[in-house]
Amino acid sequence: MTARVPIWWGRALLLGVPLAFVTVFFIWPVGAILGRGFVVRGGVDLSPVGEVLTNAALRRVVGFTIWQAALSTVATLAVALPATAVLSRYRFRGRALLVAVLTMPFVLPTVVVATAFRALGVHGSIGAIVIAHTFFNVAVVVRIVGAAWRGLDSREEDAARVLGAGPVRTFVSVTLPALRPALAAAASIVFLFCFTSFGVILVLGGPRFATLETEIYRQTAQLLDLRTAAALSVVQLGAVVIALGVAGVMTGRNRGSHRLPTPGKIPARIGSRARVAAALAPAILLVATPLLSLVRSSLAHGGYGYSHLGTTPFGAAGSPADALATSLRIAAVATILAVGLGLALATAVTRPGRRNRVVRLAQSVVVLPLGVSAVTVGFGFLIVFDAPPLNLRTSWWIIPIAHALVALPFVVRGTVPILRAIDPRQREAAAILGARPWQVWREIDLRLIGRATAVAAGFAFAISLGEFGATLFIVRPETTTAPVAIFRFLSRPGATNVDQAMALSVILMGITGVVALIGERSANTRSASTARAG
Amino acid sequence: MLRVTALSVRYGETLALDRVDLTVGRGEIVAVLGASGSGKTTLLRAIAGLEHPTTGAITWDGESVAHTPPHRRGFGLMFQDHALFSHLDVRGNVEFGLRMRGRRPRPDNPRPDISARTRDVLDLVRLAGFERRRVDQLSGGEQQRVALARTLAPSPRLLMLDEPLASVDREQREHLASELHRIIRVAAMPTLLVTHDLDEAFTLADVVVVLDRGRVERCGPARTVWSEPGSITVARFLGVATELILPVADRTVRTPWGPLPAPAAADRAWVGFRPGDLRVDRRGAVTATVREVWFRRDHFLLNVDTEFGPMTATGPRSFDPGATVGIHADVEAAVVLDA
Repeated sequence: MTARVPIWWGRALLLGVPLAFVTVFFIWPVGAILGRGFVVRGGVDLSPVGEVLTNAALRRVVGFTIWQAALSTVATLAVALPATAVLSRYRFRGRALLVAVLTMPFVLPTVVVATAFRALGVHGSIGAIVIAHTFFNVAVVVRIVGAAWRGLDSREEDAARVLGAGPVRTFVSVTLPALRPALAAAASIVFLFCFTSFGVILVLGGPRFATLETEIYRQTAQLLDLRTAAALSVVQLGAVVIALGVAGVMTGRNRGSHRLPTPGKIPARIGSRARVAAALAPAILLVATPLLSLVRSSLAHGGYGYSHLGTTPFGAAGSPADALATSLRIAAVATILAVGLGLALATAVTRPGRRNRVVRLAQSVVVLPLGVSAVTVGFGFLIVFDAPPLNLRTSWWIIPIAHALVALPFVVRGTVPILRAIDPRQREAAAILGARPWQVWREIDLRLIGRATAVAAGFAFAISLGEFGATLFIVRPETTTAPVAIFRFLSRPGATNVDQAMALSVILMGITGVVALIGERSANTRSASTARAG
Repeated sequence: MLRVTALSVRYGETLALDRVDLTVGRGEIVAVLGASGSGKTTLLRAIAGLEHPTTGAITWDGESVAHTPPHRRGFGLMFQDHALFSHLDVRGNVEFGLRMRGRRPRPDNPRPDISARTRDVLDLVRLAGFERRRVDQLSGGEQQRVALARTLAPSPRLLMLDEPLASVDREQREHLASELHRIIRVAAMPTLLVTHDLDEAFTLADVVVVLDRGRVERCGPARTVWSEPGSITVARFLGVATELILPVADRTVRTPWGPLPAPAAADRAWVGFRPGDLRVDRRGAVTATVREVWFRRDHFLLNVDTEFGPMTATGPRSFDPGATVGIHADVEAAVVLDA
């Protein structure tokens, strides 16, 4: 089969490059942290981890991390589920806009969100942390549970009704079980995000509230105790793996078919309008209030923040405008990296043919960064890329690489289901009509994932713009990104610094908001063909 | 011409194709007829290059295509359910093959003028004016014609059709079958079609190949295969519903309706009739008792019991179950085989 050789090579390359990237920039740094936590003078030694778990102060940190994450998850579900129900089931004017507004916070930079709550005067309490987490994660529930809800086959509910079940009975016995995997998935993702939350806690918690993430940062950056930081990272990794495992079991191996969700069909009539409004009100208030207050605060002192975007505060590395320019440049490079590597991998793992072990492994390896906290990744970078063979510590590239790593899973997860849903006969038909392998990819695969790729690219861009946890470890004065600049300005004394932080936050929010909105629009106009290809 | 020699395809434990031999000559229409699971689709996919044969050879004009990938074979395959590109409109589908081939003209297929060829092919399948339509908004028959146009457009040297009429409404089927016949004749391409439908195979094809569990059971000109199935299995598959074991004397089968030449020097022979070749009337050469009656639009189908065994016959009108009737036969149409 001489003709198959180049195809085989192509596939190896498509798989190999992203795998090498993840290995060098993720597995190696994280492995190095594990090494620091476990290996002492050439032998395996659990004492650093043991010390962390026996130290009362550090144990409190672990306890608080879990407690605030659980509380935030419950609060998020309580606020988001009524809104999700209404948005999935009812059809009314402004519905699309509301979905956009409610899902936008997810891509907003954590530092911006935290700043917004500070502008509201909400900070320095566990309540502030929980509210900010809820603000953030309403989007997760609306997206995941909403998609599942809209994708439900309404004929099953109809069948239950015809068979004599009342509305409540139908909901409990048909709708809820069908939503269970999505609910479990959403809850576990929210828990994970809150568990590994960094910027929110650093800005809103103040010194009194420490989680594993902020403690790792404090041990590294302030106390220079890398061993304890490594041990904390190990505990963190362990907790994340357990959380992911529990989520996997709860979600079940439910591989539903990729279906086009049907939007809500029930027109909201007068009677139900009040109900719709009541269900949506908490979520909307929660999302809109801090954003509006942030905009208002940014206009304080005659808009000082906006008129002094180019001014470098005394002692700072650069002006807000410099930071913004750096962020945009980094985001562009990170997006190209993430989309390029993500598409290569998605293509390789979905090519027809035997699903061998390498392919399966590649798929699970590449989503790993999703579960590991950004702070751990940043810390790992700090340890590994400080010395030859890869001395990237002073390189500009290290930041876009870290961002691409965080965005990569989103690109892969956004495109693989669509590629997998493509009827293999479409590719075969193209081949028989004379398309060479790369032409098949261009004409079929790329055409069908074009929009999903655009959405993923927008998402990657937004992630990079807002990334804070990993960046804070590896940033250098000349590579200060916008979120880091906001954080730095906020931690300096003086009203003008706060004004500049607020103004920069609003601009960053505006840019990510626009990027997210573009993504949302292209996702909505995604023609039926994408999903019907299966 | 296409020649397939001793082609076998194995999927793990199952042998999908077992030493299949087949030829499709210039301007010939060959139908492969078989039940579902008989290996029909696998055969087409192997010829197209989408499956890798375990053993055997596929040649075109004497040259092996084993090392030619699907996109260089120059064969056309119309998939069952069509596999139209749903992200492209009708024109996008039809011109796809022309665009792919356009960059590399072949000596026997010089660079075509894409839009002119697309128009011609759409005219041929009577879909002119449908260029901008979305394929998922077309009816089954229209989709079938788009699929055919897409396959014909690059002028493949071999046309392969997988159950071409399977996804078409019953009402449209007869009309489309004759359309298909006309189009294939006009295009003058050697054609290999697979189907489970007797009507489709025998109305379209010059040569019929009967495939059963991956093996060729019968192969020959359509009319010959119809009248001489060659084996009891094939006879049953080709619609024989009444089977009689009758005595042979002097190399002649004695049937109640007259003598028939016996196939071999045995003392008994197997004689089969299709329902249409046995007619029910008030009286006949064989007396029968009606067991079941079905209404079939323009005739009735009856299961009856006779002294020779059960028979399935047709009648112009209904008879009550239990009624005594007579059976006439068109002896010439009988299938006679060794018992």
